This record gives sequence, C-alpha cells and structure tokens, in this order.
Amino acid sequence: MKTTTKNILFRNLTAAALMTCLPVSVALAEVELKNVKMRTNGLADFQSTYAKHGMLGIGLTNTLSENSESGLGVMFTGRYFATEKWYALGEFALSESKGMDATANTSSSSNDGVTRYALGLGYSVLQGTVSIYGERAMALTLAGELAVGEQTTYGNGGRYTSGGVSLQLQAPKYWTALGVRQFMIADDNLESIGQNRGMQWDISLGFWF
Amino acid sequence: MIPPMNFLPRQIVYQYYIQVNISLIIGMLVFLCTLLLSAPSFASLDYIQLRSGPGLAYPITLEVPSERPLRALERRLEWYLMTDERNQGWIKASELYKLDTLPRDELWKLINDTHTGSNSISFIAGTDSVFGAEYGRPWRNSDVWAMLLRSPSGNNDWSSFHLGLKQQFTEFTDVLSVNWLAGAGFVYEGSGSDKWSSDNDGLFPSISLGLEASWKIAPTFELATRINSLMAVDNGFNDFNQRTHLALVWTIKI
Repeated sequence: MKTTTKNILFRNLTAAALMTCLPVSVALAEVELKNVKMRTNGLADFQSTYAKHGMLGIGLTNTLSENSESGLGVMFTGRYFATEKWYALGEFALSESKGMDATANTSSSSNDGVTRYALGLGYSVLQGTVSIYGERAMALTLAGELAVGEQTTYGNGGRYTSGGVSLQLQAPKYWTALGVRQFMIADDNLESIGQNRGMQWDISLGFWF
Repeated sequence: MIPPMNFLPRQIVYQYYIQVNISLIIGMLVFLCTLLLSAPSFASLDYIQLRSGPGLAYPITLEVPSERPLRALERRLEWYLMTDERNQGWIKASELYKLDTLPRDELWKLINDTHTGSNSISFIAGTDSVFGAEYGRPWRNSDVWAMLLRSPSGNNDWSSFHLGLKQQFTEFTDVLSVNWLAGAGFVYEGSGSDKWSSDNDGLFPSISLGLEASWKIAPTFELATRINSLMAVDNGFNDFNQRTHLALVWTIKI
C-alpha cells in the first residue's frame, strides 16, 4: 500500500474510532463484571437429603432416694448429634416427691412438685443391630451420659449432677430409650434429711428431628 | 517320544534342554500377560460396603457392586442412608465417590451438605456449683460469645450473663489449643444470697476473664477445661468481689 495522504488519514481515523470505542467497551465490561452471579452448576437445583440432627422425646421418670417414697414424673428430652459417638443432651422433668419436708423437717402428706432441668453430654459406648424376628433390624446404642443442671425441691434450688447409662433402640421413624442414673443435688436442706442423692430411671419415646 | 539321554550325543541333549526352557519361559510369559490383561476385570468388580447404622462401629450388613444405582434417603452428620430400592444401608460421605452410578454433581451436593456451620453452642459444668451455656460465632479473627452461668447452691444462688471475645492464644497441634476469653456483663444475686454482696441483692456490673485448654475431638465437637474468673462491683464501685471456678466445657458446631 502506498503511503498517500488518503491512506494516512484513513489509518488515523480508524485509530481514533477505536480509541473512542475503548472507554465504551471498558464501561460495558465493568457492567458485566458487576453483574456476575455465583454459578452453582446446578447444585442448587438438587434437593437436600432429609437430615437427622437429633432426637426429641417424652417419657416417664422415677426418682428413688433415701427417706423418700419414689416420685413419678414426666420428662422431656432432647439429644443433638455432635459426632458418630458424642451427642449433647438436654432434659426437663416435672415430678412429685413424697417425703420429709426439707424446710420444716417434717413429713409431708401432700405431693410436692419437683422441677429439674439439665444439660449434658453422652457417648455411645456400644453400637450394633438387633432383630426380633430376623426380618427387620434396628440400631441399638448403649451410651454413657453425664448431665448437670438444677433441681428445685420444696422451693429450694440446688445443682443437679447425674451420671448413668441409656439404652436406645432406634427405628427409622421413632426411637425409645431406657435410662438408669445416679444423681446428686448440692442443696444443704436436702442433704440434712438425706434426700440429696439417689437413683433415677426413665423410659422415653420420641422422634427424630 | 523322547529318546533316553544316554544314547544321544551331548550337543543334542543341550539343544533339547534349551528348547524345553524356552517353552517354559514363553508359557510363563503368556500366563503373566493373561493375568495382567484380566486385572481390569477384577477392578470392575468393586463392592461398596453399607452398614446397619451411621457409624464405623455398626456392622457391615450389605455389599453392592459399584455399578448398582443407589439413592440417598437420609443423612446423619457425615453418613448417608442409601437404598437400591430393595435393601438399604449407611455409607460415609467420603466413600460416596466409589459409586460409579452417582453423578458427579450430585456427589458434590451430598458432600457439601455434610459441612457444618461455624456457630457453636457450649455447655459448662464447673466448681462452685456453676453450670451454664454459651453461644459463639466467628467475628474477624476471633469468636464473639454470649455466656449464661447459674450457681443454684441452696439459698446462695446467683446467675450471670456476659458478652465477650474469645481468641486462640497458642496451638500445640491441630487438635490442642489454648484460648483466652474476656467479656463484660452483669451478675444477678438472689434474695438471701451473700456470695457477691453482703448488703444488697440484685444486679451488679461484672467482667469475665478466662483461659481454656481445648481439645478438638472432631470438626464438630470440642472438649475444654476452662478457668474462669468473674469480678463484680457494688456500692458505687466501692465493693469488689471476685469468684473463680474451674469448668469442663463441651462445644458442638451447628
């Protein structure tokens, strides 16, 4: 191509036109960058699988201690899985207590209410499968449990500490558990009449959440 | 018909032995090649082991070929209950890749779902009849926490609520670390109790300082031993009371 005035003018005009377009294209690119959305490659379209986080249940509890008749009550329990073996647990119980009134140190003829709440942790010592007829099998867990909380008896509160075992039978939709534990309450009034320690058993039934 | 060796010249005998040995070597090579060629067919017969429950302690109750289509029914932590529409069993998420029939995108979705959040809930049981709960969540390089403590020892009961920061002080291994925590809040003393003030009951401004040794048992679960000191003031900052307790703290990630 010859270097003529026409060619030089044509080249410069092309360059000028491109230079003009450059800021526009940059601006368009910026707009495009600002509108970037996270792409999930369709992962969000999959429905998450139903997850079991823990167990909720209701049950019967019975408290046995010296100088007191057994006190039957109702108990609400919750367990939240932390690992394959460890889980956190919480419970709330309402029960009756027939025995000596700690404040008056006399026999109480009426039923006194006992409230208890506790938080703790459990460890599955044994895990296996059981079957009765051989057709259906269920998971079985034997766990050690420790719980700390507060028990209010005769209007006095004391720290409640318990340690025991829980045998849990886990069906696909429901579960049932049988628990036995030793407990101790840090309450001087209860200690003076020998009701600050004893044994509790409970049986509970529940569902998964 | 092989002639007796005694009646053959030595050269022929050697030639015969060489021929026999070459045949043996060729035969062995063919045998080895057959073995090698048949190896891929052994690999394609991989079996996936499924357990009766969501844990390594549960027995293996089902083995299915890796080519069999399996569908996830439910999840418990890192374990999936899978079914082939006839039988079902539990498999760990980290072993799902062995399933040839599971699409890769679905596989990653299943693995991603097992990741836990960064918030935490802790439970505390300590000396001085103290127990309580704590909620924590990450904030910049630290954790912010809200802690509720209660000490219901007969007539001397008290409660406290504090907000604060927790940070790692040092780390020994990936699972052992030392953390410090500091916060501010208030202490509430019940009527008749003289643990915090012999004159007054009610709310007192307070600060909380603590040091803990933490053991990360699993990504979702930690156990720690904590020494925690609560300091409260009363009567216009004239009375200063302090109580220290040693506590066991168990934390789960949610």
